[in-house]
Amino acid sequence: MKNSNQFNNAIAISLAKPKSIFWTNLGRNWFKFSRNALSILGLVIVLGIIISAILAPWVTPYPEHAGPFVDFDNAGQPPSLGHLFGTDNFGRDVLTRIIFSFRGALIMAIVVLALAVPPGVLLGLIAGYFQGTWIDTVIMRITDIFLAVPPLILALAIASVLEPNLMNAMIAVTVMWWPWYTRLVYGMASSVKNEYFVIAAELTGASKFHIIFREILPNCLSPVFTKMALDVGWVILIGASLSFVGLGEQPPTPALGQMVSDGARYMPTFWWMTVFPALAIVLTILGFNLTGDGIRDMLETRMG
Amino acid sequence: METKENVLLNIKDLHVWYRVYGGYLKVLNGVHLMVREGERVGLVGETGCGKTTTMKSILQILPPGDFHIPQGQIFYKGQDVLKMSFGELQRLRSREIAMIFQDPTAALNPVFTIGAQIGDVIKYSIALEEKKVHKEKIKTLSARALKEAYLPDPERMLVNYPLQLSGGMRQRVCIAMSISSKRNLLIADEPGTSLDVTIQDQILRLLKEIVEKKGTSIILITHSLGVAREMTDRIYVMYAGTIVETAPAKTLFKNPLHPYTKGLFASVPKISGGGIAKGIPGRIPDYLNPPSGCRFHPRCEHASQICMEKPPQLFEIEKDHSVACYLAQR
Amino acid sequence: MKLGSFLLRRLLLSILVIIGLSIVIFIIARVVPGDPARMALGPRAPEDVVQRLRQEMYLDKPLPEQYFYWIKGVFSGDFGRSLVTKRPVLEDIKEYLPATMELAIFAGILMAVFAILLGTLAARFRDTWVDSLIRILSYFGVAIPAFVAAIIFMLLFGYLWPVLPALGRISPGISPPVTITGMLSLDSLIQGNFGAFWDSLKHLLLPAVALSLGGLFQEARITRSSMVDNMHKDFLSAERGYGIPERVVMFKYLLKPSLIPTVSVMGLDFASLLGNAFLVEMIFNWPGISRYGISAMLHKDLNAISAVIIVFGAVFVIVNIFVDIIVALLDPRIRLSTARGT
Repeated sequence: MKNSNQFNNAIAISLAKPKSIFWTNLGRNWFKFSRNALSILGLVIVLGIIISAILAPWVTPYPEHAGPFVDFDNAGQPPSLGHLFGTDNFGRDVLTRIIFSFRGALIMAIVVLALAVPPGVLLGLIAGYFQGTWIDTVIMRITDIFLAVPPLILALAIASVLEPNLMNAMIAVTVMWWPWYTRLVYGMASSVKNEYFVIAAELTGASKFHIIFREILPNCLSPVFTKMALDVGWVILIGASLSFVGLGEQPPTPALGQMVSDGARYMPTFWWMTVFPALAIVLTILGFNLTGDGIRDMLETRMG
Repeated sequence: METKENVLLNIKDLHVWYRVYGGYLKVLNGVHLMVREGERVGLVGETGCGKTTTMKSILQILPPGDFHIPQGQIFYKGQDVLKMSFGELQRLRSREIAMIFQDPTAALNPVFTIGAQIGDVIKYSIALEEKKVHKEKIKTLSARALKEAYLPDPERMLVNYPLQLSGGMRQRVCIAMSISSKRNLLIADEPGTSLDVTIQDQILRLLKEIVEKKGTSIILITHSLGVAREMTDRIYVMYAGTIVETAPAKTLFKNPLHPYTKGLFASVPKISGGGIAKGIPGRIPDYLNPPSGCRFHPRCEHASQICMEKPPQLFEIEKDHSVACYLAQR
Repeated sequence: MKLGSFLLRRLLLSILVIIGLSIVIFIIARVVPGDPARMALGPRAPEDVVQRLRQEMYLDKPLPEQYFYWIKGVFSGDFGRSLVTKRPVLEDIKEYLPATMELAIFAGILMAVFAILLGTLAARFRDTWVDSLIRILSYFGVAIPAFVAAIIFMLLFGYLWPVLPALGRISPGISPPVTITGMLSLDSLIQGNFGAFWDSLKHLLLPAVALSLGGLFQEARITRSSMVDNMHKDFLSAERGYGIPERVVMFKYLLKPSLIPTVSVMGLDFASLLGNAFLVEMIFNWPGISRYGISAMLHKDLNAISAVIIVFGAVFVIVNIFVDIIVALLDPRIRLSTARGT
């Protein structure tokens, strides 16, 4: 039948995934990313963090300090050649602990985003496509409820009613994170669905599944990826805030926020115990922010 | 006769480049254009050939970005616009030249009322002369300008926002802003093309009436030959950033000389016989790497060796009729 | 007219949201393993006393019924009793909330004013050293979490260079004003007690700056990029072309549409302000509701936790409505397009 031919053509055209376009244009994309020297700097920082986290046991000077270890003779040493960032109140090497704490931070970021983004995006797509119906209202009201509480407070509240450990901290942050993606995708999906190519697909009889995933979704992806890149930094920040109050990774496993709060007691004399972990937090967020900006420049700008 | 006295605007050999990834877009490649007092000039060419860029260069309102003018001069009443000071430029824009943009929706600020926008135009035009300007006076003049553009209920219009108006009304508001003070040159960039044909006709007639009543010169940009024929005294034909031919309107229609102009005329479908129009093969060039020599040569069936090497200059073939083409100059 | 119905709709929706929030909180609180009555009375209380408390707290009734009693209490202002302070939670809130609000509002004002200032400067002088400087500052400002900034300020101003007071809300020697709003700076201003006013401002400054840092720079960048986007718009060229002087074009015609994204973000940033206030209050020893809330969370003081979250939710919702009003005032498209049904 004539109809099925048109339908097949429509599917064939829309199957051109945006990802393949990304790789074929890699040269141009790299140009866009590298226009900004700061993005390169961010990438360097991020790669440095990731690599040092993965290779932590082999890269750090005192890997055993990241576990249960005490050496009171060496406690409270200022930065020196042997201990670049000094030692803490238990005699553990601050630099080593910082690098090991990157592990927990990165794991949290990956897990939280992996768990929060797909449902968030899915809900946003559904709500956007069925905009104006009860489906839209229900989904978006629930989203609004979660967004009505300041983010950190919600995460703290959830984490505090559960046992304090890394897993529960991740659960808490995931639960408060997904609504942001729903709202982001909802805004885009509801406007994209009025575009002509979607209407055309509907008219040629494409299934709702096809329309949502093959027509609307690819057009919403760029801001989602950009947001994910930027969000890594923010998840790490919330993780640090949680561990600052004692939720999240428990001692002796090091966590950045926990190190800052532990060291705060010994200020200002033993300043290195707080300042270096704090700087590490700032550097991490900075690196991911810069990289995220570069990714946004790459995915979302138009030339000329 | 080309007397020095009544030449209002004289663009000489204007080049405009725009920097992008990979080099420069050489948008304008030697534009020559002249407007005399009281003259109605038409600028004809297809979309993307550089008409708007040329006009924006006159008022120095090219969008902020990497625009570069490597050579050329724009003389208005004998003074080079490109060398004017801010104060002189402001005077030029307030009192001498006004441009009516192609898309009236984009040309009006969506978050301010009509009254605010046209009021400010009037206010700063008066402020050039008088120290203090009264709000009442501005309001009166604003309403009057709106009335001259035949907008209904001008007083109430002042408190409306652009989005509350139809496309035709927005275009009239833009026209009202241009005539709110006496100006010597109007530039109308494809007036009414984004509108209904009947509305477009009304807009064009309004422009015609204004020009006749006030004796203003006008540059009318259009891609429609029919409009050009009706509304203009002299026509400039533009292609890919160069002027390829210019002649009084009647002469051009009787005797087009440049292959592009001839192609344009052949592209207009005729209702009485003739079938489907011929059109011009090929596409407008890539401004990043424009063709060498004459920019039209890739699409020209008469192209010869010299056309690919040296760009042809405008040469007066007959009285007042100049062409930039080696073929015509033979 | 249209603004009124727009407001009404937002208000009703917000109430719905708060109610939904209360349900979520309630569920979370009741999901906690452990016996709230036992936790309240301690491990050594006799069983029958605990049983009586359980009945009082309706713990033996089904969940929806428990929720009903709780919500009834909330509407009459009864949030239950705090496990930690042993007082009605409402009293705790009344005592601590103004301090946090004062801090948050001051930080919010700092954020708004300086964000617009810096963003406009960066846009006006874009691609010059001014722009680059502001951009670099922004990267750091956004990357420094509020609690890190708070600690750095503590270090700098508390120990190295004690120009500004680091702890508490008011110095010991100054006589505090009579409590009207509970906000020290406002109250002292109203009463003309300038000594106290000045002193409380000094105490406010450090924590407020630490809180506002992230949001300030983020909004500055949004302002800048929105201004730069709008700079290319035709209406600016048109207005310039009609002879309106450059500074009017920049500060009136460019600024107003460019502020719309910034103001929209301010609502969200205020939320992070409230969230970060938790940690900043701890560090600066600021007796606000966030500190109270954290202590409640660490002690699993359910009544207090629920109350604090509801309060924060309500505050945030009100701020959002306020922000939406301002955006609607700035952008006529919002108030008028709802009428056309687009």
